Amino acid sequence: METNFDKELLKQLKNELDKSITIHININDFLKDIKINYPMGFSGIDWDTKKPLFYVDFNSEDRLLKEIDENLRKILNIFPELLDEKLIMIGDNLTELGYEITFRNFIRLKNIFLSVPQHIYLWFPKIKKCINITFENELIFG
Amino acid sequence: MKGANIQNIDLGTFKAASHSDKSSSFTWGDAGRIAVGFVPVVGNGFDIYEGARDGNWVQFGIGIGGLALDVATLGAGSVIKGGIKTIGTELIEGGLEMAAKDAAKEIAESEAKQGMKALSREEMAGIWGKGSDYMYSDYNQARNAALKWLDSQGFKAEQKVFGKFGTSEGKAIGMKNANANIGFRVEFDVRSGSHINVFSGKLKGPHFQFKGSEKTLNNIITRFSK
Repeated sequence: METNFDKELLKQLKNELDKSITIHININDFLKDIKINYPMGFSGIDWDTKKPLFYVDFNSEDRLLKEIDENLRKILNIFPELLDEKLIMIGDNLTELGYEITFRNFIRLKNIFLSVPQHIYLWFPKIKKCINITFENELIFG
Repeated sequence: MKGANIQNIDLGTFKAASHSDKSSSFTWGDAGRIAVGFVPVVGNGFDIYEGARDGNWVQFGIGIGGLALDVATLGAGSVIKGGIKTIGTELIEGGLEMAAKDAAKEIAESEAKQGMKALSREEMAGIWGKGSDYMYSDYNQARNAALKWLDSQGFKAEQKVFGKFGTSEGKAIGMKNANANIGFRVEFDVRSGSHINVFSGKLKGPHFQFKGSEKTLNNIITRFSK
């Protein structure tokens, strides 16, 4: 069920809907996929057990917004096929909808998604990789 | 545009992670060579040049193949090629050029990607156990400080916040107001330890960290279920 934060996102993304974003009301299968592919800790993916491929702690939201592009490009340098790959943006837990979007478009629209103060998971269902942008302003990929 | 996005990038962390896996025979000369090998297009030119110069047709072939790969992938092929070089060389030297080519394609999708290896515990040292300016000796102190911040935002505890992932999935881990736009949740991860995250609209509050294990936190959240 959509939350107020979802409604706000949908409003801001209205020009993108049906063009570059598909909304999933039921995200259970995606959640199941993530849980199958990653060890879980108390609050989310247990990155201590599942060693990440890439980790940055921005320490502040300002720094995250300023430097995230550069760091996403580092990931793309190794996994260039991610750029046009579809991902599902899942929030924990102020949003309940799944936002299907290409990584390229997510990067373009990231400030809208990142305006919600929550952990977000960018799950690439085909490649089975995940980018976790945490409430604590970390970028984790693995 | 796509190429421009991908190519002009400093490999930074990834190169460091790859190099750390080299054996003790690794030298700085190797480091320079590997770095060039990972530079799109230029690296392939280097292989072609070196291969032709030394009469090493295996290396020459890898360079040509890599160049084609780079054109197709706008640079990513160099990373792939770096990963397949060792394995591919053995196959080509055994007279199995075609097999090597096929294997290279397959490996490109899997093995080479793993050239970007998971960070080791040592590489992650310093990341875990990060502190914040809001460190408290126990949950009650952290909660009081968090509630003070929430009060200033007009918070009223009107509904529960439930965990979506992990061992807290489906359990009450915090509270929020009726509009669900102001609230808090307790969390645990190895990097930040036990902590309380607070939010008000689009505003992130401080991370109120406190001493306590995951077990402590599991005991604490039983209070929210009542």
